[in-house]
Amino acid sequence: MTAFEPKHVGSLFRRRSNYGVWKGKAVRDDTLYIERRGKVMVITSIEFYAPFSVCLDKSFSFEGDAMIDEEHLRFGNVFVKKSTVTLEEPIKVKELYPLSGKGLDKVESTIKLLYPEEEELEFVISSSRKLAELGSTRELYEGLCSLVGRGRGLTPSGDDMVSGFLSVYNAASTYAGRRKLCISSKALEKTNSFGRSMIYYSQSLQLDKKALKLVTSLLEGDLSLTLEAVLELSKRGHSSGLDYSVGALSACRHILSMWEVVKREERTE
Amino acid sequence: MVSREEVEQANKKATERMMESEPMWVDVVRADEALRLKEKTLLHAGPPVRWEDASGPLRGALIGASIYEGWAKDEVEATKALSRGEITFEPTHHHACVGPMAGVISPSMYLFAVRDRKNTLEAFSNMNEGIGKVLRYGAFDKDVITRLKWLEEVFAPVLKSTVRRIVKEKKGLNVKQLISKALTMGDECHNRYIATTSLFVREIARYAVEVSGKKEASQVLRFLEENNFATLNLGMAAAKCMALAAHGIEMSTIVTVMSRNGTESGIWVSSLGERWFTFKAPVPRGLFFPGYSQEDANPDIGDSAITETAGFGGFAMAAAPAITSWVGGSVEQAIEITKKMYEITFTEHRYFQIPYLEFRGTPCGIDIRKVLKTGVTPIINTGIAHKKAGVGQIGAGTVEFPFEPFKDAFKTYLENYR
Repeated sequence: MTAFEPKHVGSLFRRRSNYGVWKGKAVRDDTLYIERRGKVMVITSIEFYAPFSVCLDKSFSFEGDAMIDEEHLRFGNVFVKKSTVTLEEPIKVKELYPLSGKGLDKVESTIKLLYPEEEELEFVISSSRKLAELGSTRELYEGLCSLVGRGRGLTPSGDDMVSGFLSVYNAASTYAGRRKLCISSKALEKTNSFGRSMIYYSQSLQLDKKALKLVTSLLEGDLSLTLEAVLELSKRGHSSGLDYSVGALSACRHILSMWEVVKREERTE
Repeated sequence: MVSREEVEQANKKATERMMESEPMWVDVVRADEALRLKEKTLLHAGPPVRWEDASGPLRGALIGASIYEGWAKDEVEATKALSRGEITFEPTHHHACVGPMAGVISPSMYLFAVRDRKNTLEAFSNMNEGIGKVLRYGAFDKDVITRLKWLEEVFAPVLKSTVRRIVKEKKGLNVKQLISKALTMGDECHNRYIATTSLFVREIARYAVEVSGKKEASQVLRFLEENNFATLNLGMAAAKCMALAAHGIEMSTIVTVMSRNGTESGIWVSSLGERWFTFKAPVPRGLFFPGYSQEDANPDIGDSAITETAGFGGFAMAAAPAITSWVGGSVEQAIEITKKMYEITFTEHRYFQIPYLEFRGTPCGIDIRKVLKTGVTPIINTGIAHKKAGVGQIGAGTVEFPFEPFKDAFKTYLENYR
């Protein structure tokens, strides 16, 4: 593998401009260097790939598709350089008092304002509304499975939504002593290794800092923290962070309408 | 809560007004007559700043202007008066005014007056002194003051008579057309004004000779011949007019001011009034005059980012490959910068076009939502001032506007439109 240093990344990054997620993401967050065919291809937000750091920390071999050596992970022909980022402590919700009503509407409006593409937005919002309304666990599971691998991007929009949904749903389930929902390995085969990895760690509630902030603030009903988290997540990928947020919101709506244990008072501030 | 469609409509309205604005150079006016300044008040570039926080070049320019006005006889006296608040200073933008670098404007200075008849707006900018040791870069020695006096006593009166003749004949000089032409001739109209100034001379030379004495006309034309940046300030006043036309549109997320005072960089957003969103100004990187280096550079300063706000300058870098010899970088990077700016703008300019990009319109109307979404911030071409007062210009380069003002502006926007 060709050695590289961060100083090389800028120029190589600039040359790279052919597709959404790969483009323009080396901006503010800590960075991750990705190599392909022996060359540095792109740097991107480290948190976006936080699940990969778990692979490093736990020496986890991912479905035979990822190879770990001292410095790199490999996903197919994409190499990921080792980073020092670790995931946050397992999620702990202090109280289950989800954001509801107008609060959720405001967060959704903010997401709509920031969303990059009108057509995708329609798909994402309509899918999230459907998810929220699915009554039985079986229907919900099938609904989630149908979204896996749907849409464009390094992590398809559907995967981001499923990840957001499961993060919130399973965090709430843990608090309420309910069964968690997990997508089967077979269903995960519909998507790529990036999407698989993200859904896997999201449903296991192993989240990075920004996702954690969103899930906790949503479930504890803190509107301003939720908005803050959405703004932070918005820079992730082409629409990845926003898709994740839409999924999380959808889970919140689902819990509010289907579970009885949740307090239903409106919290808008 | 405001809907996406409403914001899109508002932004369309704002950018339409920005693009359709028709700034015409119509007059040369004294600052004290045009701006109704309070007694012993100076104007400066960027967001408001206190004397104790002001950077070297801004302090230098304020000192120089105080000496030029006769309010102080030297640096010591001026510093005392400024630090005690006996001489006050306010942002140019609060007076529909713009000035490059320190942007200091004093009552006796003459200004370009630009009028947008479509939107009934007026904007002003001071006269450009050239490059190197000049007031706008914080220099204030005898030569600087002498040049300012010459601008006041010779240059401005000739231009005033000239423009009045032009107004009689064709209602003024259309600055948008001038910029539009220059963008197809290798200028980006922030840090390269060679074509613009040449076109300007072509437009005014005959009138200048007709309305003034041979000696004065010759001096003025000579000055224009030697100062490629002579039309920078006129271009900035036009850009301010365009940005003003886009300002004050309810629900719009379009940026209408980007400016820096050497300490902080700040923005205004169309729907958020004259509220500044600021953050520490970054230090530009670029090429330096012999004897100076990056270490001497002051943080970013000047109102000239109004050009990028209006859709040219750094946003039109792809139109000006030769600029890389002045600000550094490669032609490829210049093109990439323009392409990158499309990611954070609402539309493409109808009148400002880039030949190399198949006459694609320049990126126009910075949308705070897109800055927030992409994490990409505007890239600005700029001159570089020495961090110490009194030295002047030491180079030119580019600088990335900080991200935080956009984030703060969007948060405020959400609060306002919840």
